[in-house]
Amino acid sequence: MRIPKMGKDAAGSQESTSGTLSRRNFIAASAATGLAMGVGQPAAAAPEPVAPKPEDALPKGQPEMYVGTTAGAMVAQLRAAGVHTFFHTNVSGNVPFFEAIEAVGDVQVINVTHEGQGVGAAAGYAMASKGLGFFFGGHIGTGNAMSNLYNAWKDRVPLLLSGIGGATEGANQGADGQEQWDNPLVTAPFTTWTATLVPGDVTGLLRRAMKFAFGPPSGPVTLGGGTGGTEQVQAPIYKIDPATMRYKTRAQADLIQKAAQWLIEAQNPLFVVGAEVGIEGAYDEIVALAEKLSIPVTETAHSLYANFPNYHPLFLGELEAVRFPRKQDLLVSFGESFTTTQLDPLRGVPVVHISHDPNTLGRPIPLDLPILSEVRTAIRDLSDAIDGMLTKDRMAKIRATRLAEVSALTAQLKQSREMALRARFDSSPLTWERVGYELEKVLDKDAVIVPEVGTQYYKVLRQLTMGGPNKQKIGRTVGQALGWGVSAAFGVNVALPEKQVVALQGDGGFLFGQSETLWSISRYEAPMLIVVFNNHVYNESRDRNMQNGGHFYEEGKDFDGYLGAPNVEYTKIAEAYGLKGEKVNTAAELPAAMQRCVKSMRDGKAVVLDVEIAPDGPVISQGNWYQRHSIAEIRKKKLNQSA
Amino acid sequence: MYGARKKILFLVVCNVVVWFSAACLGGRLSAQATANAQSDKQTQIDKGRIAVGQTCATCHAGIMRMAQAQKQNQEQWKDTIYSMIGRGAEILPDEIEPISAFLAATSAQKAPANAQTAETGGGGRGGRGGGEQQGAGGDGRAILQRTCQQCHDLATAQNKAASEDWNAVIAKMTGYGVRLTPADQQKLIDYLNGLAK
Repeated sequence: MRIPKMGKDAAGSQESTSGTLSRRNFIAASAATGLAMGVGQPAAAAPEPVAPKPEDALPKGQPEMYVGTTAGAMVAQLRAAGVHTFFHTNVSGNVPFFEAIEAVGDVQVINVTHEGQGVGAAAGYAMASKGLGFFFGGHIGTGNAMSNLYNAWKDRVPLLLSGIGGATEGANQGADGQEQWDNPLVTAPFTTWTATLVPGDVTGLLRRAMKFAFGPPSGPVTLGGGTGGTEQVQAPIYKIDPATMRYKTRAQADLIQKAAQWLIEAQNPLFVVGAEVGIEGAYDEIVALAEKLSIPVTETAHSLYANFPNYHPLFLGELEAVRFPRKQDLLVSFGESFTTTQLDPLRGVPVVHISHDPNTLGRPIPLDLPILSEVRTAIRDLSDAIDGMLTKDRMAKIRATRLAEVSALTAQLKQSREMALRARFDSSPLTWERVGYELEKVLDKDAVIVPEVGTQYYKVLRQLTMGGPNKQKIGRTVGQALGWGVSAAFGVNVALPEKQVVALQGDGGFLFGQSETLWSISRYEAPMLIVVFNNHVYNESRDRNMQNGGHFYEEGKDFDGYLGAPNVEYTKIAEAYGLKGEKVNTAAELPAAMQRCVKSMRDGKAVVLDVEIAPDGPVISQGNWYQRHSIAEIRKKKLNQSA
Repeated sequence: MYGARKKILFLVVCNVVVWFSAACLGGRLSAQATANAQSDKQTQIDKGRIAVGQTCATCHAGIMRMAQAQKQNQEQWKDTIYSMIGRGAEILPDEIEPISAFLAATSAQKAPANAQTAETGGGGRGGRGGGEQQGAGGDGRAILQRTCQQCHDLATAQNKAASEDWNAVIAKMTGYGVRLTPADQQKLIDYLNGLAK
């Protein structure tokens, strides 16, 4: 099909003189002819012959065949998908797999001493590398793995977990045998697919597992049945490129046209940017589109990545808190799933949702215009459609007027944050803001931040220059099951050895079984910084429990919030694993301690920085109260007494 | 001698008159200053009420009840406001004092007998799950509780002057930033008109 050549478009731009059809003209022409834009159609629509590209040549020949053990076939197939880092927790029965690993010579096994932390590390690795995270362990560790498996599922992380879940020893099912359970779908709620490895089709099964891992929707896959044995097989090895594994979609032109028209007609449109922008790396495109019409940009409270520069004059902050512009009349979501977002503030506002995941479109909220597309492509198409509908003069006028309003507002909000920072700048215990302020001063410009703290996280993150070429953020996990942050940060550091990696960790979250990861951090000499925000309380839940008053607020009692008694010495935990520990009690101590931390990281040794933080939220009269119970006191028989 | 005594008496009288006048004037000025201060404070509180409705109530549906429960003074509320700004609340520099004044004034009030118990169901340990949840839609009473009572007592709805029109009141409140769909606005107006009958 040949697209008719266009005359001057609505924006007054000239028709193409290069002989090729621009994306803008293609969209206009597609709409004019009623052509639905889909995968592969741009090439078909090109008006002139296009020179063939070597990389697009028709594949010839058969897949490479592997001959050897099933364990060797598994290693070969993983390597063919670019997977060279295997996270692992100790279990018996993987000798053939280890032999295959040693034979190939280019696979690194990363041992983690607990399956849950191992899965968290593999997830962090996948999120940072944008590849596939692979973990292998024993089926008996399935229960341990479940918490961070759930987190990875909520975060849509492509993960392959071998030896986790699945059927146990087939012949004995139902017998309640040792280390057995009956349900082969034990991990099904938190996976995109679950299966059991069978020797007959190891590589085919792995190929399908990777297909389900990358989706869409992407997410974890569990394969029970171990990592293969010594059975001899001939198996095809499938070349898999993680970058192109997820099926790509492109929006129909009429939908893009409609969205562009809505954007132009709206007086107060608002953008929300979500994880898919980060996953696709569409950072420059979203900034350019926002700047085209000076549209303010928000993120949700649980945005996984720094999808938009937080220092940009168009960046307002959290969607949940958005107050300006006063009367929004259009919300456009770029890859934000809304799965954790309350949209009450925007009830009644038309919503356009662009996502590469058909599974998320229209689920939590009804949509006015759902668009299934790669986010990066949709942004570009939308930008071109706007170019085709507005004259340059009109675009400039809209941009200038709105930019003046939004940037004046963001400047005021910045001033408010500065006042909040300065109000208790020298307080001890310290404020979250002060720690963020000092981190910004000492960290590399492109450090990677991995937070696992409550809603106080914004107090730290808004002090850091994030997004674009600056610091990046991975987490907090949308799943919010505590016990993720340190392991995920470790996985990030494995994937990004050239970057400074900083885990921001609440003391309560650290106590959710995370010290085990310090063993791996020490073993593999990951020069990370782990900041423990130590306020001796589960501040977030206490805040919510107490903010509306009631009996326990009046009594000043919190049954499950106080974490002191004992006050944990996190520096000593670090030292127990051979890492460096730094303790900060006062604001005056912090700058020098930060300098020592950075020096240690540069020298190659991780640091646990334990900072005394002031709790916030409603103050209760007995902040250190807990329901006391002493077994030593109540026992009738003392151990030094004979029976 | 008599002349000197008369002069002294004259000076004393003058002095008394001046002092008395000054005292009266001072009293009036003092009263005026007090009235002005009260008026300024009320202006601050009113400004704070609007800002609270636009900002705090976005996440804290029961902000009035919360303020009454916590009984904090203005300085303590200012600390809370700084904390909330750190968390991302869009509060402008010139709203910090008014919001703290409004919340302190609200804290000083007794919690209304008809205060609704906020939903504080199971939530996460570190996220926004649980806590306060706002339901969507609902009848006029639910909308009143969910939206208007974030800043106003129920008595405000029951004591409306006959000359006031709920359509105009709701239009004014949406102008302040209250977010209600046209359908919910109509349900609310119908409910409020029903209260007056």
